[in-house]
Amino acid sequence: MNLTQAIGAILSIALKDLRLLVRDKAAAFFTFIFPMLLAVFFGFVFGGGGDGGNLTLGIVDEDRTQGSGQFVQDLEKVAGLGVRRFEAADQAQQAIRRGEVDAAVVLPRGFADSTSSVFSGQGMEIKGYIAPGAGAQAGLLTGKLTELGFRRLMDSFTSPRLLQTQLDRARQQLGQQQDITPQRRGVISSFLDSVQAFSEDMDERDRAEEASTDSGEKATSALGDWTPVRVTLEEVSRQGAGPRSGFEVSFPQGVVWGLMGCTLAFGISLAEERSRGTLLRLTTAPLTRGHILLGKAVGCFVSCTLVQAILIVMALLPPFRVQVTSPVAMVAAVLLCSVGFTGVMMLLAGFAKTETAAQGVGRAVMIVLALVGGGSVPLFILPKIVQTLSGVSPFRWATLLIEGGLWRQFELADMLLPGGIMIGLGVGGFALGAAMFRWQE
Amino acid sequence: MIVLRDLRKSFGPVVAVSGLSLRVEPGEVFGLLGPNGAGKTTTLSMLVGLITPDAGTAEIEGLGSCSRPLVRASLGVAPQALALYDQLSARENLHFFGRLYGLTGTRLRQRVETVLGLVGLSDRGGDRAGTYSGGMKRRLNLAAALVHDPPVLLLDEPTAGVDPQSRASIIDLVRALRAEGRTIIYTTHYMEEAQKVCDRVGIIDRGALLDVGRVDELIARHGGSSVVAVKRGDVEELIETHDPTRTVADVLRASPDVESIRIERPDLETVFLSMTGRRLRD
Repeated sequence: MNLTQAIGAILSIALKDLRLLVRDKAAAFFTFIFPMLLAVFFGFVFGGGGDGGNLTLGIVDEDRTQGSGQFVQDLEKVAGLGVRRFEAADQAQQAIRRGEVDAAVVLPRGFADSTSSVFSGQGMEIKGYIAPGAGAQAGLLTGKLTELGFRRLMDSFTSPRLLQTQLDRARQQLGQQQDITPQRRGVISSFLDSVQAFSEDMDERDRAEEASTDSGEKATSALGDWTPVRVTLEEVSRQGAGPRSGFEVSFPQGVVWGLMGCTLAFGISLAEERSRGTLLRLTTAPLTRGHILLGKAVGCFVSCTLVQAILIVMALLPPFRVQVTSPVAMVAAVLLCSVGFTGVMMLLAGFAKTETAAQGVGRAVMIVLALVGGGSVPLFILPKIVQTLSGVSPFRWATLLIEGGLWRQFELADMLLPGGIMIGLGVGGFALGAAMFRWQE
Repeated sequence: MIVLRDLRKSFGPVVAVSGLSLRVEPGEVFGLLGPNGAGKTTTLSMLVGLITPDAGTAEIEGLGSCSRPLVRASLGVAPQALALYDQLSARENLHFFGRLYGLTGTRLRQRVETVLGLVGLSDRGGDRAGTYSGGMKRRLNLAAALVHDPPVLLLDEPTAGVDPQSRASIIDLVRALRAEGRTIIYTTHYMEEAQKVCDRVGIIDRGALLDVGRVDELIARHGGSSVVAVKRGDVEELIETHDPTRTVADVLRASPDVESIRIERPDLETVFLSMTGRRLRD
């Protein structure tokens, strides 16, 4: 048998096992459905979405004018936005680092004037800060600030006094402008006169109707690229931040139970193959025993990866809205967990000499390890001593890796220990399990 | 073609096979008969490379030991246990086993359909094996051994636990496979079946091969006398004889009042029991 045929046979065994797993209703339920239910249930038990997925915003008002104060009050009225005031920018940044707020913005001096200067200037640039990986929240924040900027601009159109101030300031700036042709100066002056006449003739009721959000959007297109607020956000790394919602705790737990389901399903399937005679047929085929076990391992690896991917994608969706702060770390965590638990599967198959042993003792041992490893009570709220003891459980390291990709914000150095344990477990577990595996009843 | 030379295997103090030598010729159906625990399965396991012998060799002449994966490609094995995946359909089972032997594409599909037809399961090929009757599973088990078109077949009790129709079908199939020139080792507890199917038979007990030969040769060597049963009124007289035809003629000449005469010739079962004894082995 050449390499291509060997790979074909290994993949055939893996595919066959995945098909059998899906067709076994009980195994499929405990591998794929049960972890999802558990993740959702415990997520709500642990407080669900925490702040309901809201954005918590720190705000620093350096302008301290009536206009900026009004802007802050408008922000506080925005649904889905929790506002907390800070005296200085560095305080707001510290709050982000500590995980107390998701983002912060600073309203600089001159903010109120700039945001309402439609006939002159460039609008106001707001400096903001945000926690890493909060891309969706950054978009939301920018959108809200811009919307409020436009609303404030439209307010100036609805107030004759504000509009008159705007026109006076524009005329003053026009008078001071030296590098402008008389012809162009005349056109602009005529335009400003027209706006003033238009303002004086407008019916007050019509103007009140114009001051709506929709009209703000129309104004956007009419004004081209000009915007009263330009937001630039800078990432501020978090230090020792905890999970932001119950689902960030419960979905790693779901992964634990999903991994357990896969490990048990494949470990038991090897014992079943032996007791039902199909292993004999496999061993009499032109394959080495290594090919057969590799086929099982590939099947287990794929199912472990699949169940984790399903849970994580589900976690990203509403209403859970769990954030993957480090996609690369997340992908690495998933693959490492799959490698580790493929080794655990092989160990189970090697130790369990009979199908009954695999079904009974194997399941019991795995459940205890899952419970100790954070399958029911989150690791980070366990006492230190229990956390230390949980080091014997492979589930603990898997939980740590998955949490690393979610809220622990693992970097390469953080992943070395749990990742190394997973690789060791995968390689060592496979080798030991294969050596101990009994090929005949 | 299949050559076993002085095979020996012990499990702790228990000697499973002790110095077994055997040669099965190409195109021959060879019956391996023996009571439970005689060493048949251990012998077959050594032949297919599942168990390493303590001593001796088991090989396919010209190819080598079946412990080598490449040599096993020329073997088709139908184990006594129904080695099938109940959650897969018959077609899926056969596709899977075919792929293990390197079959792909059109060739695989053709072979799957051919063997489904051979065992009479074409119409039910899409049904899951778990929904099959015992006889259908037994036939599918045999089909799985044939899917890669092997020249050598090892059939371990291929008719165990099936109804008469399925048994007749399987026996017909084995005869057809012999006609195609395949070499077959066939184990069974049904002596009548072995007598019908096998060209030669080997009787094994306590790990040793007691005798090998054609069925008539074994009967002649170990079957003993025929019995002529003569009934007169309520009395039946049993006469042991090596020449039953002459004995019947003599009885009729001497006693015109005979109501019926029955000749009981020794058969393979007689041979088997005379060689292995009547003591229960379970």
